[in-house]
This record gives sequence, structure tokens and C-alpha cells, in this order.
Amino acid sequence: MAEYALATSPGQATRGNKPMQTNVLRDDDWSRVLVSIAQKDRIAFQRFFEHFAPLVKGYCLSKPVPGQPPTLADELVQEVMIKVWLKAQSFDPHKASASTWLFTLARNCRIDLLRRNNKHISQPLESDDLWATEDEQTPVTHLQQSRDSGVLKASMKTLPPEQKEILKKVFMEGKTHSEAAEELKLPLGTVKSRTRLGLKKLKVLIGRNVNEVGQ
Amino acid sequence: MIHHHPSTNLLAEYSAGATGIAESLAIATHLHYCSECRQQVKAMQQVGGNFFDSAERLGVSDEALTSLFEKIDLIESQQRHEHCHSLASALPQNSASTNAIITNKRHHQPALASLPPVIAKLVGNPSKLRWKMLSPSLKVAHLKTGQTRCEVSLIKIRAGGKVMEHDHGGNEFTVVLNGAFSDANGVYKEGDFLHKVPGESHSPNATANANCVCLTVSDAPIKFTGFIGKLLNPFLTLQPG
Ligand SMILES: [Zn+2]
Repeated sequence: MAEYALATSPGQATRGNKPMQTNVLRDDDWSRVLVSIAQKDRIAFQRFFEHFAPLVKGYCLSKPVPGQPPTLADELVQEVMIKVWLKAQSFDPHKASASTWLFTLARNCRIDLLRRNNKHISQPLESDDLWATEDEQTPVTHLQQSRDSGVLKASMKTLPPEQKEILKKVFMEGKTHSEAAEELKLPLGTVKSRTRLGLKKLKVLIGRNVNEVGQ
Repeated sequence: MIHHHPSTNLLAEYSAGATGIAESLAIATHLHYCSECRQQVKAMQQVGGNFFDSAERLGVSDEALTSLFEKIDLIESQQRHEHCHSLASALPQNSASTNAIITNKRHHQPALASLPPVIAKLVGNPSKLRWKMLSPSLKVAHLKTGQTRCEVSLIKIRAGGKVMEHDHGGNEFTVVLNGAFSDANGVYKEGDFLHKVPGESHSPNATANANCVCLTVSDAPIKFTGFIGKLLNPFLTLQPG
């Protein structure tokens, strides 16, 4: 990945009110590829596509919808990848990993695509109005970010299978807790508490009480 | 300072994109005011990113990439064209939010002057909202959000007004946009998020000094206790404001 080593230009490091964090990037080569895509580098785009397009397709088909046309997943790949090209400039490698950023893009595209399939109602809002995909301009230290992503990757491996199963239903298949409960033949309360316990185990809960009464 | 937030479970469903349009609207509105929950959603999205990395890899054809580059070529030639065009005309672009601010000034509706962008987009021109009076102190204007499951409305409680005690036939989400109201459980101020479930009744009161404007999303009609009688009340004439 040597050709992407110069990912942080001086211009980027001084943009906004960020503290100086010039030469250190998160241990995520794909973030650097995205930064190159922001500079309209087509070779970088091709590499990104080759790695991520199959995952976008897998993500899309993890939520099969009755009567969905077989071309839907390929349509999603096209839409997500065009957004990658157009929005790469809004990606900030100090604030999110490439995978998380791409997840938010694919999530929003999948929502829009499934809604568009349901043609008869006019849609005054797009998913981007309801789910932000761009990071806000608040300073977050690089150290904080990379530690979080390292901790998350490691704790993912120790997640009890019953918690992982539910988090996967929610985050990959985009299922509500009620839908997950129905599919897994579990009480709704169990799904809710496993979700909270799983998120706690992954250390992504910020100042929240894991025992809060689920609503 | 915001004291009432969506539950962890609701934020997880939202971060995953599992919540419906109407519920998501209520949560997005809260997020506009609440940096704490924005951070929480960001952290939860990392979980999504991690699962995404381990998604099944499904074959994508080479033509897909070719077709993408064709689209990119097209977009870039259009952008060059538009760039020349905008330099020539030099007209400012209209965005929904600037429109909303301009119209608000013109129509003197201070309570609707600083709506979160997503609400401003839905409302469009605030003077076109059709407010329906439900009681001397409560007005409702429905919003169209492009879904059929939930009723989405702005409600306005007159300063010092009281909403009749009501029960919730389903889930009801409320986000305070302006002013404040209270019920037996607490005070709800700008940005606060309230989730009522079936069987929970309350009778909200607006604070005495200002009108209270809220966004409400409900998946079943609310039930006013003894409200029909009140509807026949001769005081129920239209009151502008
Ligand atoms: Zn909050």
C-alpha cells in the first residue's frame, strides 16, 4: 500500500479545529485508500471496489425481502459505490474507520432502495435526512478513536454466541428487536437484554446503564 | 441540558437502520439537540462496521466496475457543465433550511423559526401548516412523511395550557422542539425525548411563559378520557396564534 502512504496532507491536518495529529493514521489501510479516492484517484477506487463491493452485496442480501428483484443487490452495489466516489471527501480517517463509514452508506442506500420498491407513496425524505453519514466537526483525538476500534475488534471475538446472533440480526439484517424475537422464537425482553449486554461487552455503551428498563 | 433520551435498544435499532421512517424522524430530531446520543450512535455504528467486514463476500461482475466508471465520467462532465453554468448565473442556491428561515421571519412564527433541518424540510412553509384545534390549549398539524404506519404531527400547547389526560393506544414518541411541558414524571425541555407505551396515561402541562411545540409520532390514536364532552364545549372556537 506504499502508494497511499502520503494520505494526510498538511491541508487536512489543519482543517477545522482538530489538534495536530499529522502523521499518525489509524491502522486501517482502507482509510488511506478512501483519502486517495477523495482526490479522484481511480486506481484507488478500483482497489476499494474490488475489496468492498462483494461485502456490500453480501450485506444487501442478508436482508432478503419477499418479491425483491434479483438485481436489487447489484443495484445497491452501484449506488453505494457511486456514493463512495462522491462523498469520499466527507470521510475523515481520524473519526471513523472505512468499514464503519461504508456501513452507514450501505445502510442508507438499502433503506432507500427498499422504500423505492414500494412505489405508491411519495417520499418527502431520503435516508440521508434521517440517518447522518457525515461526521460532525467536533475534535476527537486520534488516540481515542484507534483505541476504540482496537478494543472493539478484540472484544468482538469474545462475544457470547447468543449475543452475537442478535446483534448480527439487528446490524446486518436491519431487523427490529421484535422481528428478531419472532425469528429466533425468543421473548422480546430477552432480545432487548442480549442486545444491551452485547453492546456493553463490546464497550460501545457511553455512560448508559445496561439494566435500564427496555422500552 | 437534555435529560430524556431514547433507550439504548431504540438507539441500537436506529443505528442499524431497522427503525421505520416515522420513529427514525423522532430519533433524528432528538439527535439534532443531543450530542451525547450522537456519540452513542457513532459508537454503535462501529459495531455495524465490524459486522459489515465479516459479511459474506458475493461475486460482483467486472461489468459492474465498468458501468461505475461510465457513471463517474457522466457525473464529472455534468459537474463541469454545471460549474460553468453557476459561474455565469451566480445565483445563490435555495436550500430548504434557508427557505424556512426566510418564511418564518415573514410570518412571525417565532416558535417555528429554528426547527431542526429534517423537520424544516418536512414542514416547508410554516404558514401553510393546517393547525387543527383539539382543545382550547392544544393544536395539531399533521405532517406527511411517506409512510402509512404512524401518525406524525406537530403539536402546540398554549402557554400555561393543559392537555387532557390521555392514554396511549400504541407507542408514542414526543420530542420537544420549543418551550417546555411537564407531566407527573418530570419536565421536558427543548430536545427531550419521551416514549410512551400502551397503558401509560399522562396529562401534560405547558410551562406558563411560552407556547410549547413538539413533534409527536404515534402508531395508534391516543385516547382522551372524557374528551368528547370537551369537544362540544362552546369555548372551542378557533383561536389564532
Ligand atoms: Zn440524547
